[in-house]
Amino acid sequence: MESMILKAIWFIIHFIVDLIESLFYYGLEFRENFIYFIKNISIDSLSRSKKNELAYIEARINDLKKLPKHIAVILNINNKKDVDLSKLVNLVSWSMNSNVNFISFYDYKGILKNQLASSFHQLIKDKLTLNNDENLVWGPDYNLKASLNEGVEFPHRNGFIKHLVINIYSSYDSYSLFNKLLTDDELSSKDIKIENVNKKISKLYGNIPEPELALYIGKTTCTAGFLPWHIRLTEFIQISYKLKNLTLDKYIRVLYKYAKCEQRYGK
Amino acid sequence: MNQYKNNETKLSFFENLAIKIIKQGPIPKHIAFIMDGNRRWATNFNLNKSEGHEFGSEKLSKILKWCPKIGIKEVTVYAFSIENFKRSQDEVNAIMKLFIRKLLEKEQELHEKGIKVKVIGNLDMLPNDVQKVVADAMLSTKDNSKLNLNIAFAYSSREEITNSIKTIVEGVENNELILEDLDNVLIDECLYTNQSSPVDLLVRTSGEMRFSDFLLWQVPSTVFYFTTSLWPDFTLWHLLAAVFYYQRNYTQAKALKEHYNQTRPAITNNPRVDKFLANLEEKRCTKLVEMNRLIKS
Repeated sequence: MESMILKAIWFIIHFIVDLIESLFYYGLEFRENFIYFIKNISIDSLSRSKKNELAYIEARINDLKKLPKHIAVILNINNKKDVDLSKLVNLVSWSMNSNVNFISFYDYKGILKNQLASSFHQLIKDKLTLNNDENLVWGPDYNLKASLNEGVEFPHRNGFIKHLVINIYSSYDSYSLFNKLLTDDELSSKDIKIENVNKKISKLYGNIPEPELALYIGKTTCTAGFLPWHIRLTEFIQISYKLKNLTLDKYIRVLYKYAKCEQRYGK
Repeated sequence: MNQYKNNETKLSFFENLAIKIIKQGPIPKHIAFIMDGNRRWATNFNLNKSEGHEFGSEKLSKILKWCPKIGIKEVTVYAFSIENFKRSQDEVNAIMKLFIRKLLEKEQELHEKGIKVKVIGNLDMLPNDVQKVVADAMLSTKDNSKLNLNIAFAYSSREEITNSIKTIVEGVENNELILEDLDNVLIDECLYTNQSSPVDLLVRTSGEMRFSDFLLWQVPSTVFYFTTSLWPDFTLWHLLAAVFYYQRNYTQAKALKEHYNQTRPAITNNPRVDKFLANLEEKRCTKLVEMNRLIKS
């Protein structure tokens, strides 16, 4: 009898929190939409003029003490239909305009990588217009010209001021890639130290730098297995409850949160 | 100040009730803690940093009293990172002394509570006197089975992964393994945490939203709970809130666990690998015995 009452109380508490979360979520979404309406900025930013967006972003991030060079985007995808690719294209565009050099999309099931990558590729080609000083590069898996070991080198090639490398990962890239490391002929146990292992792993991943910032979508904070070696100092910040409600202001808000984080590096 | 030194373990009616209610839902079997904020807390009270660590370690004792009541079977804590060696010599020495003192002080309590202590990290980096006490604690508690406590000391996740890779490559060089045996699951099996169940929940105090090189390989299905409270201010209610958060995200965690197929012990169908892993455990045990006797090999 007692356990039935306790169980009932447990359900009720979770239910109440569910209600509060929903109210909060809908309240916030309503407020976002309202503010948008007032600011007269269309929610579909792809139709907004590129110049306006660039100016808007530059004005907002001007005061920030630090900006990430590599942003990871941890998606919460259960099937193909969940994904609004245009939102991801927005993220690419916004990152390009905030001087980000690497953007990595991740969903552990690999839906983006295995089923939607070419549509994503195509959508970016169609919708994103690049200025003369901007360059968009696809990481090793997509870039048929760059070999797996070369990666993209910095400072920028060919004098592009804005240079963005896009990568798409799945759980295969997080763990199974290490099989290649283990069977590497050149590895001898006497040499194995963190620095050499780090060099070899970097090569396996096309020499991408560690992501300073990981944005995640959804209510659960978790890595979902994203690139374990690379995330030791990464800040995990929620950007949006749902992908379909992703807005530029949310993105900028995350950059502000990131800029406030202080790193002590163990000292 | 008194509330921090209060060693009373009797819980109030509401605390007991809250625990009973929480237990109606899924409970994380293994929780990891990044115990951040001791020094900031000490500064807030105008104490010196080592006193902050003292209060921090008392907080850990309290956690070990609360966990069995909630049903948590394994606790892993990040006590000292390899990066922390960069701190002032005085502070590092103070932490080492504190660690030795606490291990010796709590020895009887560990046995009473059935706590199995494991210190994970690159133990060779520790001074000899610390190594001896650590080895003693690990060997004397190895048959305890009520709660597993893993203390990450001189630990960094990259060092752990690198060490695991090195172990595997040595295994190939010693002809204990062949190339076909090698895959990333073997890395799991050679980590310092290879005897532990998967980490269900990771709690970090003091508001930082990063992992600082802690358990990076082990957390694909782990739910993270961040709280702005400083470690010495962490209470039972914070712990219950963390478990509550875990329950609210349980479906996601479960889906990830299934995807990553984290079962312990991992099922290998390979007798050669089984033998290699058994040998590895034996070697590690022998090393502990040597450390305890302060033998240099």
